[in-house]
Amino acid sequence: MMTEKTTRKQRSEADLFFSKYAMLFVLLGIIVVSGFINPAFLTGQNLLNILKQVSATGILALGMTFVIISGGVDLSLGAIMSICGIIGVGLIPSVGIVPAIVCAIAAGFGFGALNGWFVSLTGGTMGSSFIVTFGMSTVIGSAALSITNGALVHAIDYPGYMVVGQGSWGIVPIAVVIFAAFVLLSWHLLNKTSFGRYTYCLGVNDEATRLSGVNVLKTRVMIYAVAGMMAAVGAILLTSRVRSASPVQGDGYELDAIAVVVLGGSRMGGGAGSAEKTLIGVIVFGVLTNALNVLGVSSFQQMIVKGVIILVAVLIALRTVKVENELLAKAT
Amino acid sequence: MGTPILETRGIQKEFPGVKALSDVSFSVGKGEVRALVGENGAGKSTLMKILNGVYTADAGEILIEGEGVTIENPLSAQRQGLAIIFQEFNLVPMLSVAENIYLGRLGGSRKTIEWNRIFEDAGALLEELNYDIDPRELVENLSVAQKQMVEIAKAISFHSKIIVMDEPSAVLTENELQKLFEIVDGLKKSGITVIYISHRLEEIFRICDSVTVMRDGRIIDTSPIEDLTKEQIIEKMIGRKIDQEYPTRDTVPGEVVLRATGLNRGRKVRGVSLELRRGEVLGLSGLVGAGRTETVRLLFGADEMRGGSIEIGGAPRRIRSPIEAKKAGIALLPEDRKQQGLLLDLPITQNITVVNLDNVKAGGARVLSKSKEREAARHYFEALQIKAPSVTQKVFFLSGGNQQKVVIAKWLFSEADILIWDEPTRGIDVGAKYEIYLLMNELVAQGKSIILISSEMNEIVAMCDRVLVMREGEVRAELAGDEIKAETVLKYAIG
Repeated sequence: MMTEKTTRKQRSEADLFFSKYAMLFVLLGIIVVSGFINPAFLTGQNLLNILKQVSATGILALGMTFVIISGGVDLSLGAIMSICGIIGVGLIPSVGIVPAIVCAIAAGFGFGALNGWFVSLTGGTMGSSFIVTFGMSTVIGSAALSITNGALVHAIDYPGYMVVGQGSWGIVPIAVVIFAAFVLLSWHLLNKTSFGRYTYCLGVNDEATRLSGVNVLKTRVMIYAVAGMMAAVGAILLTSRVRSASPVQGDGYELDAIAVVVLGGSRMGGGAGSAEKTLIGVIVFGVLTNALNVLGVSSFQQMIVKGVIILVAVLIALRTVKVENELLAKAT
Repeated sequence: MGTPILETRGIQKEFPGVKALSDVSFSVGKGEVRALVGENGAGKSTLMKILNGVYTADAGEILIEGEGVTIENPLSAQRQGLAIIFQEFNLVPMLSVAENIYLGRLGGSRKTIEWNRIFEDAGALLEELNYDIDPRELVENLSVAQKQMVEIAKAISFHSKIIVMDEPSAVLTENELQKLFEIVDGLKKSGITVIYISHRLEEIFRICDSVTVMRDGRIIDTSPIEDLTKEQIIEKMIGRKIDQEYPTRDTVPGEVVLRATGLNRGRKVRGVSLELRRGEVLGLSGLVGAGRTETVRLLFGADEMRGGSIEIGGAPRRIRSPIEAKKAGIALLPEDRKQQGLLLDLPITQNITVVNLDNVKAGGARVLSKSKEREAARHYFEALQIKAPSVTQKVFFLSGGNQQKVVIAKWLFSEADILIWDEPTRGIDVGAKYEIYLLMNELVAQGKSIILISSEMNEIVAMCDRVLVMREGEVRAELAGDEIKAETVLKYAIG
């Protein structure tokens, strides 16, 4: 009787360990298999290259992490990315590179703040964030098209700007360094500041948070503003890497960002998640894309593989919560 | 006595590490009203969940009218004539009364729904039970007592022989309670057995025929109600003797710390003025809907004030949000602990520190320090005797009493001096209640002031220095000292 009980408990703890780090195992699996089939995959150069390619998506996903932890979702990040890319590149001739970047980031922050304010006005639920940011996405996307008349804005004449996305320090691409800095910044905000703590609280129960004397409006506006700002940073990395800004450049990036956050194991619906998890999600996403390319899988089939992995990630995340709660309940 | 309508024999249930029920055998007769009492964690809910088919017993039998039955799920329980009415009702707010009663069998054996028949049947059923409810009314528009009636009508429509009521009175006020007693009486007269789970012992004496006491997963005693006194039941519940239900206090209130004048909010709060003194427990009494909760929500800035003013320590102060209330040293322990007081998914530490994060920051950069948070939480673990395996346990897993202590701890951590406690002991067992009363006395002795809202009349009478009785959004009486008597309070509350 006694031994049966102990094994049951141990199994649950092993379960929890596996569930929590499932994505790391998946990642290792992909790396080992790909490396085995094509040794070129395992070179440091290739791995850094992967990180460089996902850095824009990664920063967007970090911003999305804040929104998802707070119990919302931001569908306008792709459109914000497009318009901020246009602002960034478009302003260079008149104000210079650095001021142009600052303006782009400020614009991203502003659009995000507007999102946060509207979401608060409409009740702050998952539903309201969905519809508000969807509406915002339409407005901003259309504005981006109107400003440019649908044309590309070239960055090819500004080598100083392109350094951001293409240059490197030693062997480390600058884009990767910027991404790493944002991972650290996000970790710090979420774990070490009141703002980060309130972000989690909002995702758990925003009314209880309000009744604890927390400034819920300010926190929510800041959350979406941070996400918008990160979308702008992503836009600069992307436009400087591909040498041009387009009004539809960011389309679909918001969905990739959501996928990455979910892949990392953060929970849709709020209250849980972290910058570390999103980092893992980004790497899995990048490695998977690269591995599928290296393995010669067609881009049509790649979508199937990615979709299936996201579905599996959602199931694993649900299971983790369940196993964790069972363990905690037993401890009580 | 004949064959008991419901009998359990040697029910065992074990969760890993916990023996939830051991050898639970009891039986109840047809038309009997049986009280089931015990502290939280005594095993009442586990037993009910087994009877309802939510859990399966590890060993033992369940017999209905002398025949062994297996109950696989709530539906099969219902089919075998056993209905359970939980404290949180299983009703769909956006649907009508009739739809709720016949939910899941709206079409009967046909493929289409005959709406007229549904409403007629529901109307006839409600009339038969003598409940004054329109079958077309949406459930969300009903009072708590009416929702209870709908649940009972639903149970009756299933031809239930046994109805289990889990804490039916917890959310009712005195006159709604009267109605509940009539309902239970009616059920008894029509030969239906009622198992009545409650923390309120007074009402057990008023309506139950017999009482079963549980403790630590066992049945301690089953006796006819007239064979036991209230004190004896409490002793059996907690396994030791208690001297008194409410601790005494000999503090004398000091100067006025909070003065509210002419508070207004629509029809809910109409020109309420009150004064709260240092070291005082001021009771707010009245029926549910009298405007008590609405009044204190204005004091806390949770709702917008339409008129009136507030002074703190003699100086006028605008309180337009909980943020400003917190700054003014006011705390609100909300009526709905789980939805408004707690962040259920977060650990105890974070639930306590959320009101005052600046106090757990460290270093030159002033960043949150997990160790400072744990230290703060540990302080309250000891001071308030919170029982949990660790300070980082999620509050979701704590018992009602311990959850309430976490909410109390949180507002002590905010260093508030004016504590508004809205139904602090609702759904909390006897032992934990006593601890909360002791704490109350300790806090006022330290010079804090408490506004207490309670639907439990004895609590108001025993704990308050002064009582304001509200009715229809207005203060109808102010009672102090010896004037505070249950009858007097009730007289003004009902009007």
